[in-house]
Amino acid sequence: MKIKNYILIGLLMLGSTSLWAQGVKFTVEAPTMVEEGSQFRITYRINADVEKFHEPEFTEIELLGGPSQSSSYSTQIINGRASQSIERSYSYFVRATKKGVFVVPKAGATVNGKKYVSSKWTVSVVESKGGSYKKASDKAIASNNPKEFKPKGRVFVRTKVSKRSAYIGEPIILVQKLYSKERIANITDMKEPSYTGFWKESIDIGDLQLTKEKLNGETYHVVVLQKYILFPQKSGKLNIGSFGLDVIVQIIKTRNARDQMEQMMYGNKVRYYANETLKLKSATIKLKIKALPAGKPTNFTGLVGSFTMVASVDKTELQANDAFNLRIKIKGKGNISLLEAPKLNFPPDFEVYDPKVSQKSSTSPSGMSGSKTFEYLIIPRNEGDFSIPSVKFSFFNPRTGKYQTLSSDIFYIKVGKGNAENITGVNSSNVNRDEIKYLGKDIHYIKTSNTKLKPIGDTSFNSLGHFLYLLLAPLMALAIIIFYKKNNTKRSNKSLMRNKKATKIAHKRLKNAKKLLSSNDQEAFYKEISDVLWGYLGDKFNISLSELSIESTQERLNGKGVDPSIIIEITSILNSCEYACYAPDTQSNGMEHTYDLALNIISKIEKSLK
Amino acid sequence: MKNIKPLVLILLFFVPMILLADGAKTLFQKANDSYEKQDYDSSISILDSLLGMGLESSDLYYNLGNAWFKKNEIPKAILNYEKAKILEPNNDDINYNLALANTMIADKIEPIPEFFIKKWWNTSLRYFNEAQWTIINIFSYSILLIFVIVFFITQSKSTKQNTFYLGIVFLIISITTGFYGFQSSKIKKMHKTAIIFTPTVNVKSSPNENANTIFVIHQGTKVQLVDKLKNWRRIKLANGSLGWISVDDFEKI
Repeated sequence: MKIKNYILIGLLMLGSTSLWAQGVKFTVEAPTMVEEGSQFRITYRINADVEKFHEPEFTEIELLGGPSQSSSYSTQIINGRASQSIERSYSYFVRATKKGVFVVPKAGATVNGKKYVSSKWTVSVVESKGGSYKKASDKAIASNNPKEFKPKGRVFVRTKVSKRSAYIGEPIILVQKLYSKERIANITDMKEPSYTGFWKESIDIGDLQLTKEKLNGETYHVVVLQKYILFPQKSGKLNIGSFGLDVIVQIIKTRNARDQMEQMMYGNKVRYYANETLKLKSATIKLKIKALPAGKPTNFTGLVGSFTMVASVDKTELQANDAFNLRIKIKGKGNISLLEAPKLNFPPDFEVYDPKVSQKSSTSPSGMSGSKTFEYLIIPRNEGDFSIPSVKFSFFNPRTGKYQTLSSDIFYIKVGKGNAENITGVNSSNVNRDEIKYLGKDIHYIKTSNTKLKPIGDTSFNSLGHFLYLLLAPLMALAIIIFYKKNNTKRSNKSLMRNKKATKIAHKRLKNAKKLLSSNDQEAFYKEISDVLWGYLGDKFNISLSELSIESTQERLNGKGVDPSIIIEITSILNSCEYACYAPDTQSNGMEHTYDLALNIISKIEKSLK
Repeated sequence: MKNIKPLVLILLFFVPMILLADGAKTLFQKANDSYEKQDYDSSISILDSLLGMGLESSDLYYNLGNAWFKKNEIPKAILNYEKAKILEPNNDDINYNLALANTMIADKIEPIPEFFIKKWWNTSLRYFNEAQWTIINIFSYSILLIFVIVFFITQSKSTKQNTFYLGIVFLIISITTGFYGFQSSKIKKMHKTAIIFTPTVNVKSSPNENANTIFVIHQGTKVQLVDKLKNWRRIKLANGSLGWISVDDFEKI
């Protein structure tokens, strides 16, 4: 107790004088040379009590963790003079990402209301060769190791990404790791950052496994907490927020012995385990996502990576209605699960079933890789020579920064004629109602009777015979008509003649009858009179002998408009003549009377016709 | 003696024809015998030789179609059935076998419904073959002429009236049958339809090998030839589709 008071008094007495006499020193400690990619520590030291520390901004190097603060007080008594010093240090774990010389960013500190800026320090980052430079950094870290436990810097989380700049769709592997040199009792309250702008697929890491990793020459126990593959979905600057978690660490603490018993057993200082909750946060990660360049191929579906394609058919010659397979296997690294079946233009005669898709993909720590196989079952329905146009498939290769299009060969398929049973039996597309009706039926048998063979192309219509007939038949008809007409006129002329001669003939024959009258030949006389009258009527009215009868004569005379009394008279004369022929009359004046009547009636008809 | 000379001349002229016809008939019979023995190849070659002599008949085409059918050469069978059908449009056997053969080709084309008048026309046109139409035409024409003659020479008024009306009826009949006969002889001569013989034909949008393929047809399909340009023919399907194909792809009916 005495000592402590002493120190306090000394501090109060000398602090203001000696401390300020010394001035504020704000230095940077870091290795002068580091290998590219190696991790090292940058420590800002200030020998004053800092009111506020302005953190530096790391732009050229990657901040892995920090700051971890430590402070030390020391009192020296030399020759009775006590001097006391305070030292505060702020350490950052960083990693050199680029070759070249870089200036350690300046940090600021406010001491007693005054602002100080850290001194200048340059680090040259050289190409990694391994070995020699590590020592320098080791030393630096070693020298910075606080003598007392400061959990920060001994327990920290880091988010690691495989690359800082990527194209849309290019996979980025993100690993969250917990580094520790302490015993970790528990991990609680993990706070995942939001991965806006990314499509995230977690990699199965199984149970948490404790591994050892050397970082800056120091061995840490490392637990990989999570592993993701991120596929950026939009371009621009995307941030992955910090990942936070609460860790309960068991740390060894010392305290003064409480009593004599303790002092006896453990000495003045007692060490014990205490649980301490640490809130850890990883640094925010800035990613630059580049948009895919212009000039996308038409069949580009968003696949990024590097792929190969193998397309094959199992048969190139087959029969109609037999099946064959087209296999398209696409293999490679990248977001293969986004791959869709490539569009194929099959000939319309091919019946193509939906492809059987089998995918093998693994999300290994090295990224996502795998293969996808599309198997098409194709049945050509008709014979012929067909070609399947080449299968085209495009992706973006981030390594070259260009689109790549793979195309397979053109497949030539020769389809032969399937056998007949197949055509009717299997070919369902051609079966229609008609065909079902005919199934199992056969064609009708050939014609066995004698056939009439004709010259090819011979037609009867428009043939010469047909043509001539069409032309000559009307001429013949015309000839018939003309002939008939001529004949008709001749005949009518003849009757006219008869008509004209009728009276003359009648008179001539009546003279003959008069002779018979004078010779008193009764029978001949009546016959002559009857003949004269019939002949006259026949000639006069153009009645042929065959149809000459009393009835027809009456009709004809009526038709000619002869007075009915004349008709009655002529009928009675004809009747009496006929009667007299068979029953002869003895009276001679009867004959004379008949003669007069006949003469009279002829002249009467003659008159009536005029 | 005077009358014998021309008779001999006529006989000399007709003997080769008769012999040819006689030989053709025995050949036809021989082809039928081969068919009966299921020797379709020789049946086909005999019938082809008959065609080579420039002779044809619907029976010949029908039997030839049957032989090809038995050899499972459906397009050739269809071609011959169609040829037989032109010579004899109303034969049940031909129509049945043609319908059966048509069920075995790949293309099923729905014909566009025809306007009913056209349908009547086509059905009635098929009712008789070309020769029968000609005979009917000549017959009705002759009756018409008889009526004309009677009309002119009769003196009875009622006969004149009757023959006038009957004459008009037969005038209409002979004009109609004349038109039918003309049409069926045109079909027989023009060869405006064809059967596809190439297994699969890409029908092009224009008469050019590089033109777009509009649709695909297969062997055995009947097409109408509507236009031509060099080695290309414009075809029309029963469903109204139009396109160009090469002359090598089909055979005219």
